[in-house]
Amino acid sequence: MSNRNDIDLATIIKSLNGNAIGKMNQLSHILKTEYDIELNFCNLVGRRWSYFAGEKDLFRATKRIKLNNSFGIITDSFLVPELEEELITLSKQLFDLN
Amino acid sequence: MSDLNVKDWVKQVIKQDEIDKYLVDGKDFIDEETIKQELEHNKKPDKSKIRDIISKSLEIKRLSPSETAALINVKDEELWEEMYEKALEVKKRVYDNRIVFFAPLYLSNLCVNNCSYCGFRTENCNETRKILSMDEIKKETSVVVSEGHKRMIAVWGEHPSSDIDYMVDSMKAIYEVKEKAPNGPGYGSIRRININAAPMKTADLKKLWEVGVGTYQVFQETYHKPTYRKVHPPQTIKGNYQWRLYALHRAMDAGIDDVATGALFGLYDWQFEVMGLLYHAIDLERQFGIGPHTVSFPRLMHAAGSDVAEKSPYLVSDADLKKIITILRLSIPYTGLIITARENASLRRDLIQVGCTQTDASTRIGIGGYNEALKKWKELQEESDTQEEFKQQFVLGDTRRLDAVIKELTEMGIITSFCTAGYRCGRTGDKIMNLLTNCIEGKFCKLNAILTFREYLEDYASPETKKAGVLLLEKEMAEVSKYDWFTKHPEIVKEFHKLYEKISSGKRDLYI
Repeated sequence: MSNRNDIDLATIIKSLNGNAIGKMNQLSHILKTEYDIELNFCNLVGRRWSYFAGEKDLFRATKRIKLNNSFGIITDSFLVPELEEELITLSKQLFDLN
Repeated sequence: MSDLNVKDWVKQVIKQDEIDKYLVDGKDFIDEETIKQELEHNKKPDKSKIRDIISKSLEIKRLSPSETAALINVKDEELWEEMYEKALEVKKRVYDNRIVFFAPLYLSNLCVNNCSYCGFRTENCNETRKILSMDEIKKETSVVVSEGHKRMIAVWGEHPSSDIDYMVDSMKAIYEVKEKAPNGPGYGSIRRININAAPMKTADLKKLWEVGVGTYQVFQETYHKPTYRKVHPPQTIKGNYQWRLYALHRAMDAGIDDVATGALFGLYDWQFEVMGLLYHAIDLERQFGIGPHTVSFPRLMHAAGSDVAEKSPYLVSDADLKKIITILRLSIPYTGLIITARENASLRRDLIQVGCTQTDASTRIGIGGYNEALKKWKELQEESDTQEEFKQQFVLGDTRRLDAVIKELTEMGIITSFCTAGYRCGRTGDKIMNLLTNCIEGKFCKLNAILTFREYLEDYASPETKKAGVLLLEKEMAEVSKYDWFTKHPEIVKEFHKLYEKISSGKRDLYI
């Protein structure tokens, strides 16, 4: 398992391929298997945070972060702020929110 | 509310292309001959085969039609006792030791259909017709939340007056209600609205999705096509078997990933209906990777203006209902099972012990029934059966209030839950299927039961219920300290304790 502090998200992003959901699934998989970081992507509708993409057996992550009124991510609450910010920026790119 | 007259509205409801896309070689997934053969070929299952099947259920694997048919055909009463016990074990593995509570809210009994068994049927002239205004909806919801409920199922007749726009507005009105709790610092509000509504076209289902619906329930009533034709006149919307059969498929396509099935037991042979429910689950899994969130099994009961219940040769006995629930629990181990106040108190106590996961209380199913009940509750200062047959779809077996039912379950060692965490935490669709079958979701069921039960005890419980509840909470908390799974995931336990402390100090609506 690699060190979370050594994550090079920019390089990981370049390695992703396929459509947006495919990339989200790949990112979620890499983060979990190589860094033990949990990340799921969700559709937001009213109170509902509907699972959209990411590893399906994740359950530890409890921090919900709203990207906008329609999309959000659920990730670990122990991430350092800089890493969390990077994940938010990346997720917005994947959802094409920028 | 639609501008179309009833006749024109009825004509535009069914979209044939939204049935055809789900058929395989032009056929739907219910084949009567196949079901009858499965039941016939598994007529005399031996004990070891049944025990193998039960072992598969305990691994939280959905059974095949042949395996379910074998369970249906068990005659040995000792084996049934084993099955009852194992059914409860399956439920506890998937959902832990909790029962989730909800309240039904009937908003309108105008209906264009003419189902022979239903009090709402259009030709029932004795039925007092009513549709609630938005203000009336809020007043009804106020009574419901003042009992302590946090979850609701909204029910409408199928009619242009209660079309999709009315449904969406109703749901928004329900969510707006907030009432100070009588005892503690909390407040009453509905956190999840499930709905039991007519089949709709995909475009209308998307509107439900956009307002944040919980579970969308459509009961097939009967999977047996000749019976279906007999009780649902062909010229009505409900007369279209396939439109109803694929309602949940359309819901999934519209994005609603929590759907629920059910059959009205007593219309036809219960063995056939159980197989129908299984095939329905299988087809949803096949087409979407997601089975039903819950399955319901209401029994045909007396309804005003109908004699179908009195004449049916297929009425289900209490003993057979217990078997039905047991078989469903073992066959579709991941699904929730709903036992309602349609059944009397003592039977419900028994049936909860074979694997049910949800129930209701303080239930009133008349249109405007909760406010009617409230008047009686205030006058009499005690429970009263305030049913009005000609305003209801059927007659309830258990009209006890929520606190009384919670106290009873608490004394049985079963924790009450008002959990609405799953759909607010991304545990939906095929993700929650995964977590349920791996027995992970049940751990969250336990934690959220503790959190919401604590809220209830502080804000609504009678002194007697609170006393019993505190002891049960201690027991549940002790299990969180010592269960293997929790000791392996200390970060979750730590987060849970933080939330529990916050609730103890007066914060509300916290979940994990």
